[in-house]
Amino acid sequence: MHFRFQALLGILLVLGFCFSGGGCASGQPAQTSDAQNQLAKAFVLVQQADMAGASPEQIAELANNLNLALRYTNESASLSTATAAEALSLANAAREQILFRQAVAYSTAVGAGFASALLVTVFHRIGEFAHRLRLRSRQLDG
Amino acid sequence: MQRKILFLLLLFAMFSLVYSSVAHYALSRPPAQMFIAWGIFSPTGTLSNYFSGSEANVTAGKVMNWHLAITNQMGSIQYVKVVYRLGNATTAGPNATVPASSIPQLGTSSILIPNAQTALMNFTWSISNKTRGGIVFLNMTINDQHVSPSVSAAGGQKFRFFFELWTYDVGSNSFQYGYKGQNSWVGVPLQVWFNSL
Repeated sequence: MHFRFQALLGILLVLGFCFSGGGCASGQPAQTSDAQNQLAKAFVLVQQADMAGASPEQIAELANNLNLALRYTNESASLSTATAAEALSLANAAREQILFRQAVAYSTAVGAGFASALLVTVFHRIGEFAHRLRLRSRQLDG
Repeated sequence: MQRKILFLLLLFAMFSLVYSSVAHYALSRPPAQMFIAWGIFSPTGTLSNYFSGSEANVTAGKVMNWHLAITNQMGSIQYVKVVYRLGNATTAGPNATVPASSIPQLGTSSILIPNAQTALMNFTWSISNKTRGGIVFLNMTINDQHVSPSVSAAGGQKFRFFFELWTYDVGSNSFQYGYKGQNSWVGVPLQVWFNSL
């Protein structure tokens, strides 16, 4: 389900870029300014993924792709678009992962809070129980 | 019994607050000073000795292989553009707030640099030829591009390269001079003097 959502977003993004004048449907080399615009758009998405908490290795890989696109600016439109789609899905995955991590951390904190409160309120009973156990063992020994 | 439950709830709230604070601290990114640092390196990997001699003299046809090393500590990936210009002794150079817009740029190089990484850019240049006489104009080749700057220097003395660092600003969708500091944009220009013999 999650994968389908990401794939749908990726396809929508690619189609969006194609219809906005990227020229990837025609197979012609895109104009330099168009390629640069798409590169800038892809960079924005990669930066969003980075700030959302994607791993440095994944960001470095996307940066390599875009640097490759930069070197061949005229032919870079499709590479930028693919990287943008990948960055978008990476950003979503990173956001979800952070949300999950936060949910786990705060749930643990609340659970630990409840356990601690319970421990404090029943602490004296634990002492009494231990005392009773000790008495019983002495009686058995005697 | 009611008091006991109230006491339990109070303790629960207190402990939850403390533990949630610890969780928030553990999940937060540590604060860090954001900056971009860069330098021009000679072929031997030093920040000096650019002309393989004590004098900053460059003869026509001599190829210089320099490297620009740019370190990104901005907390996220950056799209960096380096603008290079040629000036002379009287040219108003770039400073911490404004670029040297009064002189045309000779070229640019762009690169994406992930956070906490250093990128290297080649800057290969040579003087193809120059005009003879008192006032010297240069024809140059920079990174395989032929350029003829409009700047001249008397006797070919005291030319200088200006290097400006620009970063892509998501807010304005354009490159801005310098990098975004805490309160303002910070320009970090570099320059190298040379004489044309």
